[in-house]
Amino acid sequence: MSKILVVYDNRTFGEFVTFVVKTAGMEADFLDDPLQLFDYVTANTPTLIIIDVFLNHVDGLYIIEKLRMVEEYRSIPILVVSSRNEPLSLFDALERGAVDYLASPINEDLLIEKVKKYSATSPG
Amino acid sequence: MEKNDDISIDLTRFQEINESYLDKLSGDKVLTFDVFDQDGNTVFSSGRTISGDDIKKYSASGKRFFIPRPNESTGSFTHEIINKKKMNDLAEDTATMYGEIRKTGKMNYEQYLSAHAQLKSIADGLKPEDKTGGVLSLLREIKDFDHYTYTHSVNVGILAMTMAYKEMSSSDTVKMFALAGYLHDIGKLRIDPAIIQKPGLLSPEEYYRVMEHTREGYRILDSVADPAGNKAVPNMIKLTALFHHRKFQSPGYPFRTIPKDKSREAAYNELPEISRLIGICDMYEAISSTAPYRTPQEPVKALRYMLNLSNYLYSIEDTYRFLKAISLSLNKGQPFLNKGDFIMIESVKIALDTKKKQRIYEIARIEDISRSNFLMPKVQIFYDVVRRKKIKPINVDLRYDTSRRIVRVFESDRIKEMMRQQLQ
Repeated sequence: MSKILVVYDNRTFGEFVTFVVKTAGMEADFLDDPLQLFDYVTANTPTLIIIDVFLNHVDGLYIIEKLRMVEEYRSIPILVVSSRNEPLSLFDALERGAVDYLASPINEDLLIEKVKKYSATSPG
Repeated sequence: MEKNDDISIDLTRFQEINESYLDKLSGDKVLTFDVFDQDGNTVFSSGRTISGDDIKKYSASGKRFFIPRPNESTGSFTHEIINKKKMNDLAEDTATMYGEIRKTGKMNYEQYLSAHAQLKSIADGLKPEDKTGGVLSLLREIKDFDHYTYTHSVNVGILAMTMAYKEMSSSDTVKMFALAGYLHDIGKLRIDPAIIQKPGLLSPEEYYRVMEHTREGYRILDSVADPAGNKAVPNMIKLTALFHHRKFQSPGYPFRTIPKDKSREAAYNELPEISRLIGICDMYEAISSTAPYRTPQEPVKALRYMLNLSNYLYSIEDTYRFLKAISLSLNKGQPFLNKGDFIMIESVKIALDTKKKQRIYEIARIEDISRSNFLMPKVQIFYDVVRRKKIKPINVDLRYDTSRRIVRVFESDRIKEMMRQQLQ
C-alpha cells in the first residue's frame, strides 16, 4: 500500500491535500510540524513526500537537501508546492532533487494524477 | 418551472422589464447583464451598448424584454454602470502618460496631478445607492487598448476604488485606494518591455529583474515633488507599490528576513492594509482579464480561485473582505458558490484546559445559499478531516455559527463524485 506524506505548517493547505489524496483511495499522513519529518521517515517509509519550501523558521530546501543525502531516502520522490509568484524557489527545489511541483491553489485532478504517477515509480 | 401561455421563459429566473426601463440603460452605458426575449434568446448581450433605436426596433417586432432575476426578493438589483467613456478616457490618458514615463524613467508632478484628477472625477461620480447594490461593469471593458499594463492599472484602480466604496469608506479613502491601485505597477515602466511581454517561463535573472518593479515603483513615486520641492505622493501609495507582491504564507517579494520570534503570517499582517488589499485586487484582475499568453477566467471561476488562495497567499480575513465587498458586483449579482458545492470549513477552538488554539477542519455540502448570505450558507457537515472519519451529518447555518468559515471549495468533478459515493 502506498503511503503519501504531506508536510506543511499551514493546516488549511495540508488538511486539504491529505483529504483529497485519501478520498482518491490512497493512504496519506499529514505532519504539521516539519521538524518531525525525520522521525516519521525513520519509522515508516513513505512512497511520496509532498512539502512546501516555505515553512516558518525551517527552510524546506534544506529538508529536501538532507533527505537526498541519506542513501535509503534518496529514492523517495518529493513533490514541492509552489505558487506562480515564487518561481525562483521552484528552480531551487527542482535543482536539489524534487521531482515535480504543484501550483497553488491546488487543482485536485492534477494532484491525484501526479501523486499516482510518482508513487507508482517509487520503490517504497 | 413556471410556464405562461405566450412565453416560454422561466419566470422564476427571469423578470420582465419594460421599454422605458431599458431606455434608461441605453446611450453611452454598457450592459452588465444579458437581456433576453420571451423565448429565452439573447437580445442584447452583456458588455455592449444599446441605443434607443435598437429598443424601438425590437419592441416593434413584438419582442418583450427579460433580465435575470436576483436570487432573493431582498436587495435591489440595480444595474449601475460605470461610464464607459470615462473609463476609455482614463485608459487613453494612461497610455499617453505611461509612454512618457517610460521614455524618461520618471513621473513629474503634472502627470501625478492629472492621474489624481482623473480618478477623482470617477470616484466623485459614484452614486450612493451603489454602496449596497449595483453591478459594475469594469473589467475587460477597455478593449481598445491591448497593452496589458495600461488596462491592468486602470482595472486594478477601479476595482480597489469600488471595493473601498462598497466598504463604506470615507471619500478620501476611496480616492486613496483608486490612486494606489492605479499606480501600483508603475515600476514596470523601468523594466525592459521585452521581459515583461516574454511568453513562457522566464530565466531566474529575468525574474529578478521583474521583481525589481516593486522597488522601482517606490523610487519613481518617491521622487515626484511639487514645485516647492516637497514630496507629492502619500506614503501609503508608495508603500503599495513596494509591498503589493508580499504574500501571507509564501514570502512574495521584495524579500525579507523574518525574525525568529515572529511567524510569516504575523509579519504579513503588519503590512499596510491598503497594500494587502490591492495585492488581492491585483491577483483577481490578473486571473480574470486577458493578459499575454493566458486565457481569462470567468468571474465565478476567478472568485472561487481567490477563495482557494485564502490562508495561503492571502489571509482569510483579507480574502473575505474582498469577497464580501465586491464578489456579488463582479458576478452579475449572483453568489459565486452554489447549492450542492462541496466545501472545506475551518473553525478555531480554544481548549478549556490548556487555552491552546486548535484548528478544526470539516467537509460539508452547501444546502442552501442566497444573495444575502453567500459566504455563510446553510451547510451539511459530514466529514471530520482532522480525525479522518465520516460523522453523522449535521445541518449548520453558518450565519449563526461565526466560528466556522469556508476556506476551500472543491472544483474537481471526480473528487465530488467520490465524496458523493462515500456519503451514501
